[in-house]
Amino acid sequence: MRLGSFSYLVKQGWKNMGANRLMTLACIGVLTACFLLTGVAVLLTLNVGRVVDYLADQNEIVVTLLPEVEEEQAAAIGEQIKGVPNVQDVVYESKDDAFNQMQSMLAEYGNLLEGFERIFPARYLVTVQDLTIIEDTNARLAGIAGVEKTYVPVDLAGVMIAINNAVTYGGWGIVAILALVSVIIISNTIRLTVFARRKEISIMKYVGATNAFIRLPFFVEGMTVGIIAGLISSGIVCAGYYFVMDFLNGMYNVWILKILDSFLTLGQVWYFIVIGAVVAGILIGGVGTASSVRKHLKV
Amino acid sequence: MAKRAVGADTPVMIQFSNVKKVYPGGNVALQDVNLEICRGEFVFVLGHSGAGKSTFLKLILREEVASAGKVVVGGRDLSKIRRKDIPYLRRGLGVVFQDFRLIPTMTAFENVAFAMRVTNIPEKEIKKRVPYVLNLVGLAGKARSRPDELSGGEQQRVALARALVHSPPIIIADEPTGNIDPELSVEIMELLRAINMVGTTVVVVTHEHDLAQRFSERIITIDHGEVVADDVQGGGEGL
Ligand SMILES: Nc1ncnc2c1ncn2[C@@H]1O[C@H](COP(=O)(O)OP(=O)(O)O)[C@@H](O)[C@H]1O
Ligand SMILES: [Mg+2]
Repeated sequence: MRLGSFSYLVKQGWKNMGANRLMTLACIGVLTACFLLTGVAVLLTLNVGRVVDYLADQNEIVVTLLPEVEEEQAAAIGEQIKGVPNVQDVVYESKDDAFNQMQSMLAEYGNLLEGFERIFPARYLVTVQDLTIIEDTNARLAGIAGVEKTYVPVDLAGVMIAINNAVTYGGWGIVAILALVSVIIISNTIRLTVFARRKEISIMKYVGATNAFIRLPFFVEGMTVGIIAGLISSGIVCAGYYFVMDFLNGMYNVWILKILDSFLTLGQVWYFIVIGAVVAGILIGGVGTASSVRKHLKV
Repeated sequence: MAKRAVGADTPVMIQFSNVKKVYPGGNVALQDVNLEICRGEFVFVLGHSGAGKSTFLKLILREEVASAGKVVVGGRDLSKIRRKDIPYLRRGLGVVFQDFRLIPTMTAFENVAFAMRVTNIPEKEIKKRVPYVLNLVGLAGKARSRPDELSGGEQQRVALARALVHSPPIIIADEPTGNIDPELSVEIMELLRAINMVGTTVVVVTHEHDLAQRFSERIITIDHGEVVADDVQGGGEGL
């Protein structure tokens, strides 16, 4: 195909958009809405995943040792703990460490803890690899001789896993449904253009235009609609993300700031959002056009 | 008139061998069709409405495929032609329809140019060729007119100009005068004759017996899907 012909056909595609102005605008509008929801779903999914990862890293099982366990025996128990499956990291705090820690926390109240030097048990802080089997790991740790008690924030873990699963499956489920809706909407718009252009199409066939020539303007139309929707929606998503992050940061809540720490920053994701939306627009425009052209443009 | 005499050595442009066409639903539109149309012939296909004339043309254009038998056009067996070769077959077949099939929003010039643009022809060539074919059909002065500003006869001449852009060896016309006043019909027929005189094979479908008698020397008559007569006559009115 000559360059001149190609640009002629591209212009024809854009002309078709103009001729169908209302339908084109409606299509871009609906598509933008779909892409917006998709963007929000993707961002939520990614960030919730990161927050859960972050919390999982914070998620330690505290293993306290019996008071009579001495340092030497404690070290042996430490080795045993390391041998338990799913254990990722082990930190030891001796009785003195525990005491010093508590004392420094209470420093401003003076020597409140005098005479209680030996009452704090030695303990191991154990982080796990896989949060989903933390209860099993906990049971094994509790069974080790010399261990007094284990503390595990099991409820928190369970809740976070549930949220993460729900958001991930729900998020990608929504993305899949919206993608399908987008394809159907583009396909329908192109179907209308094919219908409006049926006379030109039949003339093109009679004068010997090739399939590529007949189809190209429709692909130009579908993909252009997709690209425009992708640009608009990614712009809105980026702006929205900026303002939401700004707002949350402005709340100066320690917990929120901690969680925000694990969020993706706009600087990390804006190009991912824009490129992703435009590529999605091209793909969805292409698939939508193809399905319409296949059905309604028998050549 | 010697050039229209059909000798054994004249190249066959269109050949039907035992062709049958059954539409989905069982409608038998053509059967047992055997004929040859040679280069330079001017042929009328005559028949009542529903006789199968348009189906005959659609088989030549490969718009429909024969249910049985063989259709060969310009040496190509249309039952074996590849899908992607069909456009190139059609560039060698100029078509004209009863309803003109012009694009109402385009001028005469644009309508003709359209056929060239969508077949990958450079703008430079279009600018030369379109005025030439418009002049050929006597519409040099109407290049900027839209179809609704033209008479039926003029619209059909635009369509004819469009059919001529690729210099096709075969021109096919399906009831080209069906929507035109009788006096203007004669103009169109004379144009087709002139085109034929320079060596183009012309196949005209009509149900108007008188018109066929007047302009043709070969009339193929179809009735209920069968060729019932294939007469070579004295040469009609002549030019
Ligand atoms: N696409 C089609 N599907 C089914 N039947 C058809 C179709 N086209 C034509 N026919 C039938 O085939 C017969 C011949 O039609 P056609 O070739 O159009 O006749 P003509 O052009 O001589 O009037 C008619 O009976 C018509 O109803
Ligand atoms: Mg007919």
